[in-house]
Amino acid sequence: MLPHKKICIMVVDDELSIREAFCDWLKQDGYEVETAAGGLEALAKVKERHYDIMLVDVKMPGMDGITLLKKLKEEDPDSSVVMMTAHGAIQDAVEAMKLGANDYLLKPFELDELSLTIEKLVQIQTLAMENLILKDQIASISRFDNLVGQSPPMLSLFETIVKVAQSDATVLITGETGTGKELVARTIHTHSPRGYNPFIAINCGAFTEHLLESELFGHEKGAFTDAKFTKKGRLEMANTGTLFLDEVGDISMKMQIDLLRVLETHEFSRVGGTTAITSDFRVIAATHQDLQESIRNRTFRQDLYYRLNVIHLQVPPLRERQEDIPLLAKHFLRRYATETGKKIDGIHLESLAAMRRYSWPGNIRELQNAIERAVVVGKGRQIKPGDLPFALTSEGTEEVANLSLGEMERRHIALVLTAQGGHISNTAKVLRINRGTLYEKMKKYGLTP
Amino acid sequence: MSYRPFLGLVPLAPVDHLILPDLRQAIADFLFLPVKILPTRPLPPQTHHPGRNQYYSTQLLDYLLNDEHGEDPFRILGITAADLYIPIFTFVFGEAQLDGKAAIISTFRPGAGAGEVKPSRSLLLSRLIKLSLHELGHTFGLPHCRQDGCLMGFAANLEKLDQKKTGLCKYCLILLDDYFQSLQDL
Repeated sequence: MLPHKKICIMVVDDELSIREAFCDWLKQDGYEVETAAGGLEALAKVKERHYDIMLVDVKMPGMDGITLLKKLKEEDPDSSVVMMTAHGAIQDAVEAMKLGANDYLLKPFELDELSLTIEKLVQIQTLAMENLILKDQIASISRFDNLVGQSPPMLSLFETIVKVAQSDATVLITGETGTGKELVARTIHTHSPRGYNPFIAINCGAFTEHLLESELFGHEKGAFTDAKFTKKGRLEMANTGTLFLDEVGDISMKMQIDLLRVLETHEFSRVGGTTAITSDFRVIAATHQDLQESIRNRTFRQDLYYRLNVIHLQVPPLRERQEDIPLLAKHFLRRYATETGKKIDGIHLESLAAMRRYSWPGNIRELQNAIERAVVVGKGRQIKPGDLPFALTSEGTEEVANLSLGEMERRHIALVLTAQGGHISNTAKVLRINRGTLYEKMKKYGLTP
Repeated sequence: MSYRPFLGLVPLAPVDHLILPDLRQAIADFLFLPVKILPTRPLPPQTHHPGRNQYYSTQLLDYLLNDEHGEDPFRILGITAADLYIPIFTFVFGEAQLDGKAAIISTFRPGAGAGEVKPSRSLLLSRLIKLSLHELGHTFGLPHCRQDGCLMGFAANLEKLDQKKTGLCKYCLILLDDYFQSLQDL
């Protein structure tokens, strides 16, 4: 499933009683639920955000379910659509399946039909997401590098890291997305007495509750349908080393209870197992969320927060360490120039000035991507302003005044794509359009991730 | 005199009165809450679906909430011998308001009203206790649970209901404890 805590389902049905019944039932099943009384309302909502699963009634006044299905598949192809139709109208279901519906239900359903259908779709989406994560992890291995900076906040952070590394205390790292929290965690690990032992990282926000449980604790053969082999969990793999829990704020309430117990005892058992396993690991956790706020909203346990927040490190955003920008830019330039074999050995002063003016909402990751792009597209010995993504250089220039709306759009999409490392979902989120629309526009402008 | 919270058990139309005291006691023992059997109320005819010959449980919850019970129970659990439904399902064993005040269960299917083998009295009571505590669990904010055997697990049929234990898993126990703690903090 996509990296958010709850699976979000939309129910589209013109009958209020049906919508209410679904809403109550699915909420009890732990899902986030929204409803729409018709096709137009549903489409308006889909333009605003992504829904993992859409339950759509075939017979509705105005826009019928089949028309809505076609439009939904255009707007958000990643959303799974389940069509609902009355018994005796099976031909509607057949037509819907031909048009790309993921499943159908005949109303009224038996009690377990709804849960089974949704669980099946969640499982399929989870596998697709796992695939993406694995690809992302492979890509990130080649981008790994050391911390760079000489600004006062970074020098202070380095000092703290050296001190923190010597202790075995739990560390909570906070900071905006793209600031390099994992790099900080790796640096602490490398400088610690555990430095030669494993550093095991897990992105807690990228797994569903059950997958995360299996990833962390491991499982015994036969513990669940797909458990064909016994598998060690990350807690076990981190023995003698460091366990890095990224996006710890996204863990479900139940997993928080389990995690708290493990942090207290360092003892656990695999899913489906009874043997107690002890593992000696140090915990470093990170989040971009405000956990104090999550505690107030009752989505994060206070006791777990205190257990994690023994030492707190705040990684500053790039806009608060502007003096590091030239250093970081040159660091990335050296790396990408070597990798690509291009003879680029400097950054033009105007380019540096443009970089310092820019706010870098995507932080170091965005800067890294901007330099990578500049190295690829650049033709001279220096990175010139024109080699940089559009938003860095165009403010107030005459060039903008001569651009068509389409060209502006193309450049802006290209910029955000680069800033987000080619990640489609994140790019769509920043642009506030859905992924279907983004794909269409990329196709139109010949852009690739 | 200070108000002592209690749970009101409300029979809707005639229910096997022999089973009510045992059910009352079991709920009280499990939740450590006093449970009172309140006067029997009629089943409102407008909640009946003639085509399905079932009663609409969501509307019955509204009825339970709006009806005068004399005292003000902390939670209301309706119990009826009628078969219940919500529009999307062929039937339901019961329904509750998540983090709300009212819940309802039916003795119809647990008592083999849909044609299954008639259960012994102890099996029927066990089923009704599980259903009552499950639905009341929802009123205390507990969603469906996927831990094996947990009372808050979803049971689609009598076989699955019978497989459940009359107990909560460790997670639901902690979450229930948290819920009562948050009520005390208010």
